[in-house]
Amino acid sequence: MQAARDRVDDSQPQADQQALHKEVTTARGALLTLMDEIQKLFVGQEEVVRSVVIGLLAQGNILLEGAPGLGKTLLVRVLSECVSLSFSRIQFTPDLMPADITGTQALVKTDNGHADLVFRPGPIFANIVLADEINRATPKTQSALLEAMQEHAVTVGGERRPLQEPFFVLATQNPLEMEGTYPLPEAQLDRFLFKVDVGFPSLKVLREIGELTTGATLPEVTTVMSASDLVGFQGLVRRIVCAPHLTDYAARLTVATHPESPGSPEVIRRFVKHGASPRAVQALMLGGRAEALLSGRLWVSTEDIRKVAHHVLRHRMILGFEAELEGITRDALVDGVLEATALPSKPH
Amino acid sequence: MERPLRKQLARWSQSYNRRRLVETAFSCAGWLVTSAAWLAVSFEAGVPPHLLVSIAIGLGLACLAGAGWWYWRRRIDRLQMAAKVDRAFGLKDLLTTALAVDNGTARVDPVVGTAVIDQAVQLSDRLDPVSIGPFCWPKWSPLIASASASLAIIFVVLAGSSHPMWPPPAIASMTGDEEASEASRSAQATDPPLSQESVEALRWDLERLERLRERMAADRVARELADRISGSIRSVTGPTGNASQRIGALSAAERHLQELSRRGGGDGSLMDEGGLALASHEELIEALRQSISQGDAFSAAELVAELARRTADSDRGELAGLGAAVLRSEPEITESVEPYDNPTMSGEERQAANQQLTSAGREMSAANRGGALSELTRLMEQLEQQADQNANPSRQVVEQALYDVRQAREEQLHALNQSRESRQQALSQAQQRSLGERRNTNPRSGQMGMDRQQERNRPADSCATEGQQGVACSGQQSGESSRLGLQARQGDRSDGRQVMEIWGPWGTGGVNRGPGQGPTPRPWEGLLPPFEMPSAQWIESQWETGHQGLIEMIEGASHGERSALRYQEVLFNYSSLAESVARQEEIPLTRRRYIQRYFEAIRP
Repeated sequence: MQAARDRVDDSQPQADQQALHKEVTTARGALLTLMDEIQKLFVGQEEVVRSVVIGLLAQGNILLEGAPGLGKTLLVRVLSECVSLSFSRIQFTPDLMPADITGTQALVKTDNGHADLVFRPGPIFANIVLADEINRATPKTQSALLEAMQEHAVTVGGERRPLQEPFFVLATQNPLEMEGTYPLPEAQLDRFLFKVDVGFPSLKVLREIGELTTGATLPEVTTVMSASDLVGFQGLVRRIVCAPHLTDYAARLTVATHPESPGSPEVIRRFVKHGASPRAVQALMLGGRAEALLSGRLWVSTEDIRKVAHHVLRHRMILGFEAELEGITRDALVDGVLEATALPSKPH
Repeated sequence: MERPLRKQLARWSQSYNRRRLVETAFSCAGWLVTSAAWLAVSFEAGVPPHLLVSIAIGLGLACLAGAGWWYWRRRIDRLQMAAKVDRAFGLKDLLTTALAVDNGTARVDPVVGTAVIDQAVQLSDRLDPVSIGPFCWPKWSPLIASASASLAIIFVVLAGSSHPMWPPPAIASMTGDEEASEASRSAQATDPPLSQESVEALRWDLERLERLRERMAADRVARELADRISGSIRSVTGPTGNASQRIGALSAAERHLQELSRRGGGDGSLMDEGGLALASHEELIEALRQSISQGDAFSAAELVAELARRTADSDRGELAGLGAAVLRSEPEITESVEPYDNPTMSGEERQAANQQLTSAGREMSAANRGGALSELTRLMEQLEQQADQNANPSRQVVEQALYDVRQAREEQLHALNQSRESRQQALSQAQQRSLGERRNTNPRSGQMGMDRQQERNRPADSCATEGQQGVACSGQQSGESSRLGLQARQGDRSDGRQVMEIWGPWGTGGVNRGPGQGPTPRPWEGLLPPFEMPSAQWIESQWETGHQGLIEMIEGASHGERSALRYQEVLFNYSSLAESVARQEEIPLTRRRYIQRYFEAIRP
């Protein structure tokens, strides 16, 4: 009887582990399929797609920066179609008001002839919100997104209204149009998990885009994942193990972006005014965990953290005047940080 | 009870630290020996003993403390060992993470934590860290090392203190040229060179091994072995190094060649699957291209099999990356089989294989896994078919190199032994000569010694002095005389004294025998060459032993007359003779310098 009970006790953890492995395999398969589906239409930008999927898994918001016509809006639209999430698009313009985003209370006549204040939700009440050309709206309007991005809730008329989960803001901005644009405030930039640069595609990819989009029919994308699946995967990401020495590595990377820190490299001390906030550590660890899941692993590696470091750190450093004068790119600064920071548990 | 992962890592780190301990023990021994040498020099220089004792204690403690600190700095714990193994095997921090979970320092979901630990344990059972470094040293190695180091210290100190010439301060006073000449002389004395045939054979093997390394570049261990072999052979064929170093390098090359030959099991391969699995895509494909372009179907088939495995296992992104890597690699198609030896593929076959690989790469880039696998399978079958029809060229290269290395090593050993034997013989002859000189009790032996050395340089001048030597060492006289082309005769004079006369071929100074201050000429005088030198320079001598001979009196001035020989000529003859002797004989370095200075001082 006791032996039988022991066998049951032993078999339970094994069953849990098998279920876990199955869950990870399923999640990886679904996420890779999602990436494949997106790339049917958004061709040649695998790194961008991967970053967006990682951001989605890490429950973070993403800022996409790139020249016009590179398919940023298309990417977000295709993503919402593939994941079966509600999607809304807000085209930011200088005259856009905060209430246009969050919603407003309107006087509505009730059946008994009285007028009552009724809340009309704005486009922010969706799973995926595309904030298109976010730097064209005024800082006041941009700030309307702050609470939504951080707290996943908005406060209108003194009442706090939670947003539906999963909630995900994808903002795009165009680095070229300086006239009539308002650079995002640092507080808002910090709330973006990643800033992803969408580069110009290669000649081969351009040919593919031409062939793909000018034919009689466009490739159709199918829904490969439900909202509940995505929420499950997001939960799984947070269960991925991040060892203490890797947490320490993420913290050291963040500290190294501060010019006053003793371990910061020369380029940081010279060109950076302010370093990354503690949100960078969270972003590095969450991004690393999502990257690990996407690779089918249950643990985070140094490589995972280094892979997401550019996306996490590049928009969190405030550069000094000298950096602009000498044309120092943010990616070069992140490279300097990665090079100067010792790898975790480096043996003698 | 310790858990399996921690136990495994503890075992690895302990054995790694053991190696560090051995290194430290030997380093400490080296420091102690150096300190002892310095103390001995100080003792010779007259530093008071009580001061030396204090310094010795201080140095000993400093050495031990330094060794302890050095070891402490270099030893590694479990976490560092886990990180080392993670990096070496590309495990992406699995062991470090699992160890943190196992130690309870990471806050994790218990199910996930257990899964990570289980995976790490399973993987660590299959790993062999010895393949990436000298990890596993037996438990008793530090004891043996410490004992050996202690013995070395005792031996050096005892041997050094009992040697009369130790410490020789003269080395420091040598000029650069003298040191170079000394080194060259020592090297020539004990350094028989490797024959030209062996050097040529090894160079040829080296070229073939370089090409083999390119084909095996995907297997890290095989590549490192090939590098070590090449390094050893290169040091043998290079211009520097002595015979002992060459033998050492050849032994190392032989050992590594045997190790390389044993790899890959019994299927004739030099690479193994574990090694290939750790290679990057680029390394794998570069090695494959090299194998095809060098016509090695064996290696190419193995590499294609690994590529096919990766193609089957990769996701879409990785597949595209793999395809891009294949397409990026430039195929080297050569129509001729030259310069590669024993190709198993013709030029056309190599071209076809390269094209097939490129088309597989295109399929991979298009994310068509099935198409890529089909291309790779066909390529693999063709390569295997070509391989079956021929001998394995990689193994041939290794076997030939092994044979040549063994031959060269044996040849070098034989030459070194011969050289040592001949040196030993020369040394014993010199000792016998020295013994003979000591037996000679003539008060003018210094003068005679100089004369003998001069006559070695100028055999025609040396009749009289050789005669004297012959008188002194009658047992060796005839042999030495005949070697110099001289003849000797012994006879009795009318007054009862014995006389020995020596003569030989005519030289610049003349073979002289004259009446001098001696008695009347001997009856065999007519056999000798004409006498040209002033008679006053030749005298018949009477030794205390009762022997008699002829002596050339060079220092005519001592007799109140001017010498017929010019001073410069005498100086040149003597100085060159003395320097020549100083170079050839085992004379302490400082004494050599004295001889040189003496002749510099008396130069007009």
